[in-house]
Amino acid sequence: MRSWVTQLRKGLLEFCVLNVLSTGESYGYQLVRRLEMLEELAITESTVYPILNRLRKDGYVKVRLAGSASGPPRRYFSLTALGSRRVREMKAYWDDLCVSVGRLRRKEEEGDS
Amino acid sequence: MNTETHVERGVRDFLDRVAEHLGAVPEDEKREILTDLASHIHEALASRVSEREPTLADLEQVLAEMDPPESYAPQGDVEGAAGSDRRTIGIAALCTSLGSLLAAGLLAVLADTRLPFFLLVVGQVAALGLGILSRSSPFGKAAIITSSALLVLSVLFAV
Repeated sequence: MRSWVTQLRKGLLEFCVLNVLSTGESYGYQLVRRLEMLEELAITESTVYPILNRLRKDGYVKVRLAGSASGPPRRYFSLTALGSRRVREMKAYWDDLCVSVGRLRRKEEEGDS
Repeated sequence: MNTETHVERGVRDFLDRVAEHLGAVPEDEKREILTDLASHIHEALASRVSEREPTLADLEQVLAEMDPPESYAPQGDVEGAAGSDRRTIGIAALCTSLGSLLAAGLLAVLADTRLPFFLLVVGQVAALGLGILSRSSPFGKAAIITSSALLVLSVLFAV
């Protein structure tokens, strides 16, 4: 069960990061805080920063530097056109997947009763 | 030396430890991750203390709530390396088993002593040990089966 959950979390991480960024740009700390609210996914900074970096390298995310009163400049992350297209495709696939799995589970429950 | 310097040094020490664990991650990626992490720590400190300079104790609390440096080690690398080690040990186990069988066979043809028997038993015991160590690899499993079978056969033959 644990390894299944780990694999599922890993697969969903990129989707969740892109999803948050699809609502607008965000700096690292803010993004991590928002993702930490999804308690079941147990997303923390050691998983978020490497994935943000990979998404930036792959051209899905871009970075903008802006001054901050609290220390070093903030790096604001936002979606590129490619990133927006990717998150749209992911959302569509996720919706289809939820419908299909939901249908399967309903059939099983009807079979049980 | 003021408190801020201690805090900055504490941040740098933490980032150095993270850098060690990032290991094989390319340098440019490592730099980006560390920059984001430094910014994260400063934001966390600022959200904790807004009306004074953060102290070393504040930093320690912030770092205690964050993931430890070792959690930045790329997981695939660790699992991959361990898997590769087990495979190598498994191959060594299989080679020891078959090698000692071959050597004992040759020796038995050349010399009429009990040496081939001892060589075979010692070889198979060593191969069995290595096979157990690498039992999760197919080579390890094959070595366990081969060495166990040869051990049983050699004992039966000796009796």
